[in-house]
Amino acid sequence: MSTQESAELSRFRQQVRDFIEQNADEEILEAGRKTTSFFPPFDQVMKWHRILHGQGWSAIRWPEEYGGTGWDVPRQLIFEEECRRAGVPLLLPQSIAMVGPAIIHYGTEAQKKKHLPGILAGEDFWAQGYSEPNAGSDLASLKCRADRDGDHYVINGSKTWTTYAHHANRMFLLVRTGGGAGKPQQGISFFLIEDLSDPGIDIRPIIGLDGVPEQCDVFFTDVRVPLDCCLGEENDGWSVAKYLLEHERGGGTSFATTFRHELDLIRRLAGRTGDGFGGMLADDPVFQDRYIRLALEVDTLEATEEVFASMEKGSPQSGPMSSMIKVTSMEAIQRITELAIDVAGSPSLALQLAALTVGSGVEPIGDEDALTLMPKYLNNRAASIFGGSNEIQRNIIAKSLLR
Amino acid sequence: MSTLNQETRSMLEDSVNRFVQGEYTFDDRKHNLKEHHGQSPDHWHTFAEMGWLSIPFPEEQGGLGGDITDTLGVMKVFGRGMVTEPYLSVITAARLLSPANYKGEVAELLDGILSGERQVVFASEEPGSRGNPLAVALKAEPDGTGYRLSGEKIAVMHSLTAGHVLVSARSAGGYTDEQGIDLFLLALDAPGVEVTGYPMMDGHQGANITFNGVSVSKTQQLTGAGGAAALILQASSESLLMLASEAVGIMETLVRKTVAYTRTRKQFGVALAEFQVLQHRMADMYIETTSLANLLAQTASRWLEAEAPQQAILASKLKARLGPAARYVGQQAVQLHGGIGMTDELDIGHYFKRLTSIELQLGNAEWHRKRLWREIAA
Repeated sequence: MSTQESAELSRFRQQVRDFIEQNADEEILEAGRKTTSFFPPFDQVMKWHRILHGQGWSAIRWPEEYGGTGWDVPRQLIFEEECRRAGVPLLLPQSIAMVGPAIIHYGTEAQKKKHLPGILAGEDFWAQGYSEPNAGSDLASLKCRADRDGDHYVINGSKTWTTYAHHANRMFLLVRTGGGAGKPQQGISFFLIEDLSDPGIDIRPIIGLDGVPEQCDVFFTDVRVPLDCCLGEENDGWSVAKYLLEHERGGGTSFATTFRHELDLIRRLAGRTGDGFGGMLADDPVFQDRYIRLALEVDTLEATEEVFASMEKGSPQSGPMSSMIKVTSMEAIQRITELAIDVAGSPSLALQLAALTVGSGVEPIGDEDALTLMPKYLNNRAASIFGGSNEIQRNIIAKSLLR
Repeated sequence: MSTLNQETRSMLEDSVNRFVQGEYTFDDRKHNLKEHHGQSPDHWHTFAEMGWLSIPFPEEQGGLGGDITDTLGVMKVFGRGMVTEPYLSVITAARLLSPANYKGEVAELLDGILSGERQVVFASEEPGSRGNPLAVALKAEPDGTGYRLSGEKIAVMHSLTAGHVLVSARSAGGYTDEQGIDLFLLALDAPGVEVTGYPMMDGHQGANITFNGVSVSKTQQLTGAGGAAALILQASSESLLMLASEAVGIMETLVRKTVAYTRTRKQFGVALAEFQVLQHRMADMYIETTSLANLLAQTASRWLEAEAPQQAILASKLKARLGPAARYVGQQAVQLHGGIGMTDELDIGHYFKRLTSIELQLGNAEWHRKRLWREIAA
């Protein structure tokens, strides 16, 4: 939290607060309350995306010329703090924070014109086609192929862990277009797929540890796409992928703001949960010490996010710094969700898929705040695996230290 | 952050870098410890001449007109060189003197401090105070027109070359109350002041000072009766900020030196740096170091607009985060160097010892975490 805020920033904060209060309806707020992963309930988060777009606020980190807000970092943070405070779902990162910046950076004028408006408006949702059954952390070993056939490419192969592909109407995709010679990073291209209704594309949701489908397997059989779907140079898709990964790892959004909200929730819960000896958990020094350690991790993460935000992306320092954000933020949220289930105790064991579904009208069993804690804990075990596992991030940092 | 202009700042930065690289090599330091207990008069003369002692003092007192964040660059480089001179101690004490009425003995002392001729230190910690500057048991009992001081201060840094000491004492209120704390200035050779000096494990000089009914007059009292808490809290917060910058300088050096060592040292026919388990260890050393550096940068940028109670919280966050970061980086630097890291001969162990000392000074991480919880719960 900043110590003091200028009158101008306070007015801005009030403006954001008023807008959210007047425009976020009960369905959207319910989706915020029932969000148990980095990916909020789809229909409601896209509805909120379109409402924000109506105000010109859907892309807070894009340059103004592409429809972004042109806000400075303090305003971006204030916006996110107010979103957290109100409990609205955070926008899905794949379109706005990932493929969008890549198109802005690498796209032709035609590609920008074609794709950016739909992303901005929330009319399109893009899924990320990176990992494959045999290419996880070793992403460059991917095998999904695209071969030229006249003025088209023909795609064959499969992708996996494709988040929300079952909701998506667009997909960005890493495919192998080059021959077998050279390093595995060579010969990869970055495709923008416009039509996921092609019968050659088969999308199958995967049920996760939390009992709901979030990831998907995606199979491609003789899928024809036009040559101009390639973002950046053919066979140079790895550069685009790396640029985008830096955005993904470095966080398009302020993790610190989100995590602080989780910690507040845990502290409130500890204040009304007994410690088994007649006192309250919030008065237990062991709880207090764990809590403060995590709060400090979040404060430190916020400082790093501030430094990173003012850093030029693609510079020698920004690579390891984005990996550092990935490691520290994901380890922080994993420890936060651990503390949450430890505080909640056995009441967090009830499997409540119906109560977690937005609009179900099913009342939660027990404390409503505790409803999401176990799904969050389970879901966030993925946080140190996705986006390049934390072990891979440490490899990247070590490589830059040893360069 | 910073009151000084860019030109003055880079001038200071250049001069301190030149000094540490040119005159404060590891061998020079060893010699300085042996011959001067780590507090060389020649070095101190340089400190004054280069203006480092004048940074955070107003121009009308002969200072450069900077603020405490302007000393952080100096502290970081002093960390790299493991400088043992009493820079932090003397700056802290002089900052306590600076707001007092600038006349008589105070003016004379301040002038002497800035010109490098005099040194004053601050005695704050007591047995059991754990870094809480308001946990003051040392008694100041009214006695005629003045007071009598009785009690003990421990881990007083760098009193060896100082002529005077500032001591916090309680004339009213309960053990940790804000109200009732006074600050007295007295000569270290005053009757009833008993100094037990000792070298510390990090090369710095420490002392325990016992006050056996020492008589002080009202003119030696720096603030209105019982009202020194705000000043003392501020001094404590500023010292923590400076210590954190020194720690960052040390930790960055340890990461750099450890990475360099693992590239040259071979075992099983390959450089240590080829082993992934060691690569990940060094990645974590980088993460801890960079995290602390980022937190320090953010803290410094918010420092000047923060009120004293907020500064105390910012300082506690910094120290609470510093503890585990410094411990990890120091221990792993020794571990990755192996046996040679355990020796007095190599600099690595000395950096580790200084980091360990910093961890425990002015309240360890656990104490500051407790302080932060109290703040949240209040």
